[in-house]
Amino acid sequence: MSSMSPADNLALEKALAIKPEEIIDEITESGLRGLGGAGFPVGRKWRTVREARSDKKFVICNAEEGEPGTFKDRYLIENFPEMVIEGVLIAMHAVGAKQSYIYLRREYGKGYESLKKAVRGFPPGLIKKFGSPEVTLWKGPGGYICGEESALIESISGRRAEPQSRPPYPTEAGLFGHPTLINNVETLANVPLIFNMGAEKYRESFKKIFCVSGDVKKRGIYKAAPGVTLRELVFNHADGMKSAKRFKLALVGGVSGRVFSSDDLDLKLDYELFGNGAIIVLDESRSLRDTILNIAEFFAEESCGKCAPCRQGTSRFEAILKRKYKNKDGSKDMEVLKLLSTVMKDTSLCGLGRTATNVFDDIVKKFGQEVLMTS
Amino acid sequence: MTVRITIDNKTVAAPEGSTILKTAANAGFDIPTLCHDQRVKALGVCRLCVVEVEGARNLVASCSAPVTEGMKIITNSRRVRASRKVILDLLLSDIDDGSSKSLRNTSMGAALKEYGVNRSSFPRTRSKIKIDRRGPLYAHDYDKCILCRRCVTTCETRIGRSVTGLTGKGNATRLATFGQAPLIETECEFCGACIDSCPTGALIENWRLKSPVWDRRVKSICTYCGTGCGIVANVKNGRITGVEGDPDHPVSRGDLCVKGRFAFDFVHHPDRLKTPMIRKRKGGKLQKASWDEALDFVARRLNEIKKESGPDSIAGVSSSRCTNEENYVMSRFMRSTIGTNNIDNCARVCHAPSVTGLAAAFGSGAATNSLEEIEGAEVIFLIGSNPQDAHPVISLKIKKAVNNGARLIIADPRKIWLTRYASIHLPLKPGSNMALINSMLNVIIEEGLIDEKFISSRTTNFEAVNEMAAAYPPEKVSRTTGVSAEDIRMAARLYASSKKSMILYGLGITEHTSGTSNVKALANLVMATGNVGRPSSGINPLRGQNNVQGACDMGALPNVFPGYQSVADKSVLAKFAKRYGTSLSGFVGLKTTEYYDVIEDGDLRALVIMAMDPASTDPNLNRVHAALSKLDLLVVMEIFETWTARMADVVLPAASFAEKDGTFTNAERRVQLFRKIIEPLKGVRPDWRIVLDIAERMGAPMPFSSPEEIWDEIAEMTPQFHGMDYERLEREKGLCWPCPDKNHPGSPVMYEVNFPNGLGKFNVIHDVPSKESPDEKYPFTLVTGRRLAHYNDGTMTRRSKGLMTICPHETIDINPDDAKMKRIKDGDLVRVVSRRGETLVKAKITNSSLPGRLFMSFHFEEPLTNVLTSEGKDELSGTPEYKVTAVRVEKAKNKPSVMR
Repeated sequence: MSSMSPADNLALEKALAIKPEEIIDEITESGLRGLGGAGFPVGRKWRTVREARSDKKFVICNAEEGEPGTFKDRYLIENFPEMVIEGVLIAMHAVGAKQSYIYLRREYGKGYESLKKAVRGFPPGLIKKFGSPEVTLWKGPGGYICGEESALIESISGRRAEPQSRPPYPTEAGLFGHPTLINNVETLANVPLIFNMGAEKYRESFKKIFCVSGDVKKRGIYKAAPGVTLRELVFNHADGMKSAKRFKLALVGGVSGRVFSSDDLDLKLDYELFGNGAIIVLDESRSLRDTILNIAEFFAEESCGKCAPCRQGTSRFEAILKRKYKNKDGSKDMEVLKLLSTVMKDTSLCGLGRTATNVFDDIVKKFGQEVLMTS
Repeated sequence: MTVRITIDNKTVAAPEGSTILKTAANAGFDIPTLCHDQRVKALGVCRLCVVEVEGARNLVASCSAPVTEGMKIITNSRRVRASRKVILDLLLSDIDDGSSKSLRNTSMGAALKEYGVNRSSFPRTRSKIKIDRRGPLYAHDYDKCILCRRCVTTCETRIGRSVTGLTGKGNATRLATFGQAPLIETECEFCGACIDSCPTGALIENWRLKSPVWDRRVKSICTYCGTGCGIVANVKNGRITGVEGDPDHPVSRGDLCVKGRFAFDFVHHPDRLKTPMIRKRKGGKLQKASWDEALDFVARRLNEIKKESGPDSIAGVSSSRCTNEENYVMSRFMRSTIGTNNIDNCARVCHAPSVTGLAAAFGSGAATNSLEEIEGAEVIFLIGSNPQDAHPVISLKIKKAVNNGARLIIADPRKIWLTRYASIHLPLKPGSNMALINSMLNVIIEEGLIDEKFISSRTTNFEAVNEMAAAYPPEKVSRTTGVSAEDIRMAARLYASSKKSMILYGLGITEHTSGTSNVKALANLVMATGNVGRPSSGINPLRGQNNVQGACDMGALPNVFPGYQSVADKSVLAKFAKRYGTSLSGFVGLKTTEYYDVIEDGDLRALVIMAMDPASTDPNLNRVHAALSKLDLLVVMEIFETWTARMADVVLPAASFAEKDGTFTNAERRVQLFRKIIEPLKGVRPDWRIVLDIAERMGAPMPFSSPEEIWDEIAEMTPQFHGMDYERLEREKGLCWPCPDKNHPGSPVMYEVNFPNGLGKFNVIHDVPSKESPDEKYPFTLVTGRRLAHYNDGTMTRRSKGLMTICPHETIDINPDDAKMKRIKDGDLVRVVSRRGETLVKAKITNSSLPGRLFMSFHFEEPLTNVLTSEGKDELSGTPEYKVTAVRVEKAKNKPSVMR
């Protein structure tokens, strides 16, 4: 992790020395994209908030790391909290926000302490030069949905954490109705690096954090440039499969991500494919049906209950998988599940409902629905 | 800016920013939705309104997606229909046994039918939820709830309360009150807007649970306040089983308050009077009689008294509760059959100063604008009115205006509920209205905020008022009103800041010794800023009873014929004398508030009262009761045994509004035709019929056999109604007068070009102090008014079980500091003593009463609030000062046997 050494505040000094617009130019130049899973160009998002007209703006650092198999933000917060905060401060300076929130996953107690310590560790003079911005450490109420940015905003506002229809986007009308920049922890932690090494050098040396877990020998955090293959991550970085059992599949991007079978091991993982960088590896001993059921239970539990297709769909999905199949081979139930999956994807209000059946769809596609039909 | 989009291959233009759903609906495309209510923000929750948008990966919820240039939309593809069907199927799976049967007659039921979903194909996963029947007026059938949130959003944004919300998440999400409390323990005002919003019948009126089907549905007009909301009554086996709002009604658009929606049970209440009664000799008992006996008795006694003491020894009281037609025949009866102008109506004790005051300023005494225009106002100045309790649907319009950005100024001695919507609350000392208003005028003149063009081109006498206003600088007025000079200035500036400033006022302005002057003062303010003769401006009295406007319009006043044509005008007199075929008196008659003096003098011997209860609603009741018992003949037409009916010599059982045809005129001058919902109960007659019957037996029959024939004579004799007939009134959902000819569209906004007298007149007014003020012995000021769940003397609302659960008894509202000082605890029985009487009542400790001020309504017979009230009267209109009574309160030690 050489390039992620604890900051010496050099980035802050550098950012302070240039105009906010130039900061955004630098970010745009660096090619940085959102690392929470969406891959949206960061410079463009910052510029939108910068240009939005409002007497008040907010920056939110999304540290509600809820996706199963993801632990990169936790790693960054616990080990490099200064970098996260530097990223927040630079973002605030760039977009013109005086207030910011670091929305922290409830379970990240250690991260909370390290962030608190880091905030207090900044030299007061430097903070003053930034116009004494307000950084609030905010413990989320808990729940997968809080990671959805509009739900997160609702939650800070004191309402139920529920996603909102877009438009308006948070960049136009976010927290308390004001333009709001929301970036993931990893995205913001990359910001000081850009200023430390310069946009061009940064772009060339950029590395994404992957969280490899499941049936591999060495689970953990691995950095690799976009374009790395799953084979390299699993068999080089993570040192291969845990036992003699063969690789069956990997969930790339967590349980709402996509399924990679052994045929996909050599696909290049770039922004479109790596999602948030979570890679859950399953070996051949794993039951696909159990996997699907486990994921279905998860989403039925985590659906916020706001929109009908997701609330009703996730719980019905779980119930149908759990019940005794209607006909002997379960093909009828499979048809119902496929229809349900299509409708949830097509009509749900937010990403939760739209991605809750991704793994189901991919498994049916890649392994055939028969693997799910026999209980 | 307009954008062009394509919907199902049809090109449609729409304003930028409007939603796909709205655009499609306007263009005639039918997109189903369960969670959308155009009156509140789109929620995007049910997802039934999804459509295909070219280029979008997923389907798009049309209710919350704005249209953009060139958008191509498909509303009804197989993909769309299949998705909608699955969503409906999913929703149905958690309702009852998954069958669509129980959703019949709901909007969800209609959608299920359209998409052919009779039974859900999905397993039920939500645990069964029991129906909550704890609500006094409606139930929560949570098992039918599809969590569309319309009720939640409606309550939160339109009503301004948050009675229910959501709890739990995922499939365990539930609609609930806080802590699952029963509705009666929440801040619910039982307006029932949530019921209207519910697409599945999960919110359901108690009456509907009992009686879900009907034989007929009849549109009518609400019988309570002067808003004049539209109702639709369900009738089964000749009985009214339920009432709903009329969504097509031009004023209320489907909204109702707790009274309009739920307090209809009085119609069939067993206490309804159904047999005439006669007290044959003074001191005797009221005994049942036949209609013939009773009518003959009345006709004979009236003829005798007229012969003995002359026509002016008889007086009539007409009613703001009765139809225009009834008020007209009652006035004609008094004028032509009896031969006196001693005819008045209950507006005397409420809005008579509005008639005199506004006529003095503009030449006509009525509201200048229509109620719908409230929603478009930029500034609303609400003074002496508590519409949240007294005119809830008008309150809804005020809330809507404020939600749209309007600023609200409230002047009221109480911290009324709507103050939470106000930019400024001026908590003036009761009775100090005029000084406050004049001081606002002072600021407007001093700071150059007047509309000089309007003043010079449309008004007269500004110079004199200019001089008068100079005597009311805010610093000085601050001392007499108790309102800070800065607040007076801010209110004045705010009011003058817009050309859409609308004044709404109530009895807090009129029921004072300075009543007429207060109205004139407001009219000065309106003219000085040019805020009249334009939409969403003007000065608008909020009428307390459904037909206050109409009763006055019909000439049930001692000085005017219908349409305010003066009895002292010879040509008018001749016109009516010719029509009635008899000579008429040109002497102005007595006002109701003068009756008692004349009764005491022995010059007034008989009183014919149509639907009014002065024995509980007039001030200083001990005196009223004494005077009424001195009468030789008291005839009362009533639907219930009121206090006045109990004192009568003859009681004639009348039909309620539900049992007759006729017209009511609401606060915005809208004449509204309504039809009978049911046949008159056995034994009762409509008031117009009763009056005609008496006239006939007195030997002077009137040529009418139906309300429509009566209306035609009204329209013929009154220029402002010339253009109105039943056919038009029915077709055009009412018309605002003036409507001088058949092609005239009616006049929602008055004085756009001219005032009736040409120019508007500024009136110089001087301080008229309240008749009484607090002193050492009577240190508190009692203000009276209305409570949400009740109406007037309460004879109707107190017979509604549900409303009595909400507001079971009267209280005296007292400030916490005063209560502490007096060692009074919430619920304690206290004795309230004024200079005229005393009564016992339970104390309610509340911040809505400011220190030194108390509040009571007059909805109950125990306590009889009006034994306390002041006899102060507005000199010009005779209206009593109900709003200022000096009293003292003390904790009652023991309850005496008599409550008075």
